[in-house]
Amino acid sequence: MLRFILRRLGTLLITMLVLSILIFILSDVMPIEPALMILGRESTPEARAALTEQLGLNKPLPERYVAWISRFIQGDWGESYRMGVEVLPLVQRRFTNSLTLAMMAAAIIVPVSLLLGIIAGLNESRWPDRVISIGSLISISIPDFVVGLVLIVLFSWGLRILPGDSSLRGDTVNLMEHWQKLVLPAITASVVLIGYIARVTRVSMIEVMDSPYIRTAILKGLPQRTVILRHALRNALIAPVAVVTTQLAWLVGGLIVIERLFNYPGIGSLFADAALRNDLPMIQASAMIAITLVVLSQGLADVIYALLNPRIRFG
Amino acid sequence: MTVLDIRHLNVSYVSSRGIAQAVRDLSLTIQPSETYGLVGESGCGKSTVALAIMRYLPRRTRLDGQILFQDADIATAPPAVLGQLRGNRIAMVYQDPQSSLNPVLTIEKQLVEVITAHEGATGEDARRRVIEMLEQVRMPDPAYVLQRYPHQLSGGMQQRVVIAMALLLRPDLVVMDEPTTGLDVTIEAGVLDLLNDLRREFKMAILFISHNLGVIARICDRVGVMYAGELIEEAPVRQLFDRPHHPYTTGLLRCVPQAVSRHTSGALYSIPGRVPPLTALPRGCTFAARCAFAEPGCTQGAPQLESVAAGHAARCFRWRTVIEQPAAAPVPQPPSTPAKSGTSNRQALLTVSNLKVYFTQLMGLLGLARSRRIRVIDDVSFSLEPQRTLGIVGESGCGKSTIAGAVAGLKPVTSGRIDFGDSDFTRPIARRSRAALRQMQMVFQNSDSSLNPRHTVEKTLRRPLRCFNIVPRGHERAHIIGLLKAVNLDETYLDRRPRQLSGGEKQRVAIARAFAGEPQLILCDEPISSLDVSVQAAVLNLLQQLQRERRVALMFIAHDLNVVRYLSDEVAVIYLGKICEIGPAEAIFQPPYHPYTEALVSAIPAIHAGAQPHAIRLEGSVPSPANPPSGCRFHTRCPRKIGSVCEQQEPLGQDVGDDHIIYCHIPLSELRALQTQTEAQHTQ
Repeated sequence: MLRFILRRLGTLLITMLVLSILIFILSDVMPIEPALMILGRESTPEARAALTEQLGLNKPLPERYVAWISRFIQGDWGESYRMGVEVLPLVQRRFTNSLTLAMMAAAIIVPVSLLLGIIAGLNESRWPDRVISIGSLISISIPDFVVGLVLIVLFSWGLRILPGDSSLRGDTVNLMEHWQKLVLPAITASVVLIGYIARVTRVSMIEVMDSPYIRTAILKGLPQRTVILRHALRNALIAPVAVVTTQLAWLVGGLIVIERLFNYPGIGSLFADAALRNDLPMIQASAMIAITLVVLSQGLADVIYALLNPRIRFG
Repeated sequence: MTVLDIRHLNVSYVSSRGIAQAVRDLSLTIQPSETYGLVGESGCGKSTVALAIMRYLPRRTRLDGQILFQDADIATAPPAVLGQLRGNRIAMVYQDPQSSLNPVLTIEKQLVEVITAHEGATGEDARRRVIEMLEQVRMPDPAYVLQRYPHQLSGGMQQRVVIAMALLLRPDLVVMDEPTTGLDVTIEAGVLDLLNDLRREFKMAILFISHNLGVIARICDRVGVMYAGELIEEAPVRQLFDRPHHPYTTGLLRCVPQAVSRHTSGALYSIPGRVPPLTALPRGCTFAARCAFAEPGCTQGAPQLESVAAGHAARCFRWRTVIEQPAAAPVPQPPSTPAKSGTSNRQALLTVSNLKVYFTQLMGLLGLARSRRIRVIDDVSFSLEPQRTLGIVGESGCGKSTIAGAVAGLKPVTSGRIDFGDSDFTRPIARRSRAALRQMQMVFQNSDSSLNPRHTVEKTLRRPLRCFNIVPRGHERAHIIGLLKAVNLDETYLDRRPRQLSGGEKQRVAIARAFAGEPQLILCDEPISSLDVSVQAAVLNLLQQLQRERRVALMFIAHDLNVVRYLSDEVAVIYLGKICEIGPAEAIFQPPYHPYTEALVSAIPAIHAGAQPHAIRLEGSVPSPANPPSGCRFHTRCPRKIGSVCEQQEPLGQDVGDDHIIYCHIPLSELRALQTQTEAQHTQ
């Protein structure tokens, strides 16, 4: 198993290296002149040329890439053109915020959606399945900002038990202190995914319960509990695990609408701003964060997959 | 005391398409330590009987009648009672062992839990009993096997695990549903030997379900024949095979190519028509529409199961006439292929010389680190003359299909030559001319996936006509109808799509498609192995008839030796990518043979007593072609290995005469002596 994980890690590192080259080339062809962005329109061409020289931006592409990636790995992510602050600490702060929110959402999504999917799958086309299937379809179809607004109106304005504004003083989240501010955004993010994952789990469970090895288990005279918990569950979870782990990356980096709606200082809105403002170091940092998330969640998926499925572990 | 007593069992499946009466008014009993065989074509209700005994039926199923087992009626037993019986007093062995075992649990967990569930024993005690049982099913190295997952075991070992699982608690009744179907013939033979030993050791009652009459003959005491949900004949096994009283049983027995039959002696018998749909059964006798003995009276009232001799019953109005008919002589037919020419005056149609097909498997990180070559086909040569048939046999994984793939240009050739007529066919299909493509067509095993499900029969057959400009545009339809008629279908099939066809009809369309381009050679890759016996016979007859009329050569790949022997003029026996024996069909199947051929021949389950070949059994399964054994590739499993020469040197061909060549180190005279000797011992 350790060898399997190490091998996977090697593949992941290579993937990230290749992607980082792509990102660097893409950001190089973007029509952005860094010196102009930093010094402003009133600067003289000489001053801009001097800064370009100082930043090493007129060197050949491979050389600049090596310089950039080695600084990047050492933690020097440069300074934001627009905000005039170090990129790394800002991204770190926002990333922690987003990760906290994502973990909270995942803590709701994973148990609820798997449980609903399993219940629906075990009761195929009986009433619990009908209720769950229709409910999950509805939850998938409603846009997240509508869900968020309804929750704000209900719990914040109506019942007044939870805050509708999740902005943080000092930009740093503390779970103990701010958990109330996280509840509504987390639920909003959960609603869409619960429906989706529950449906995947349901189909997977139905397929497994219909398989010859479940027939074998039942005809061995095993109690129903053993048949489901020992024989069906592990096989049925293989499909949803792939979905859950790929969605984790989205939960961390993709909640732009929800962050805006609740005024939550997450990393998604930081990236969106950087892209809109041509803030090159921020764009590079955000792209690297995004691919790291995706690649890591994929790696996590592979490992869980292998744990569940011996055919992958022992080839 | 009777173990199982089924009385008037009726099972029907309710669906939106209607009520399918899968089992109708079925009564049977099984005595202690008796093996009762249930035989019939697919869709006759055999498996439904098995599942009804286990009370494992879909939710919307109607079940009436009684299934009496010991003190309980399984048909009405509450779940708690069923839980105690299943796996404990009644156990089941399934068709496909791979999918019947849970892929994510070790063999140990799956076996121990049976003991835990029923007797509460756990830990070392349960483990010891599991190991004992694995030893009893002749499992090599049980302690090692326990730690494995199902996919790490071979098919034969998986089936031993499933059998051990069923026998763990020494049940009174074991239900076996096609337990050897899907296994290679050599492995099947081993499993059948094992079952025969176990049923004596354990003194258990067995309900044995199979579509294969040879398997039934080898293992059962009494047999019931099912047709369209009914038991139509029941008798002690020898009596059923020697004196069948129902026309359906007679037909089934005559469909199977026998050890002695060859295409030169006549066409195979086949039962016309097919099993009626269970949602709309005809009035009266359900077999009347397909029966050669039917009279108008047969469709008036339903025949009853009537006693015809001691312990022998048949459901037929006319059984007295049926038994008076002498065993029909084979249908005479003109010889389908010209006699083999002298080596000089005729040119071969297809010549394959020193063919090698290697696959490269990438390993390690992104495939950069290492790669290994898998020698799927390693130095194979043969030739085929126009209008003759070459059969290729061997266990699965031996490279049979790869040879056909290379000849068709679907698999890249690593080295060697393929000559077809005057042209070089070594190149892949994309680089062959249209005229070359037309000369060679294929019929595949699975007509479900080789016919486009969205195309009608007409469209499927029009494609080759257009591609190869066989007929002018205006005459296509008439030509297609002609093709359909040639495969015994008619114009009503033109607008049908594959899902509206039965398995046999689909294969007929696939055959019509292959013949449409008017080729000179047709490659048939297991074309009949997924079909029922009566349909198999019809398709084989059709192939021969078309071969005769349209003057094509056939390369026929199959794992069923009787079929290959029946159809072929020449036969090549392949083991692990090499030819072990090649020669005229009549010579291949009698001594002297290559020890591998000997083992294959001896593994065939035969229907008639006395026709049972002597028993030579192969251990284990085919080794991986990635790492083939040195010397003679068969030495690891060879029952006649003579010594280190087999491990070190590749055997050269020994010419038996008449182009019959055996690749073995044992001198021919010795082989012949050994083999006639064992044969004589077993006929005594």
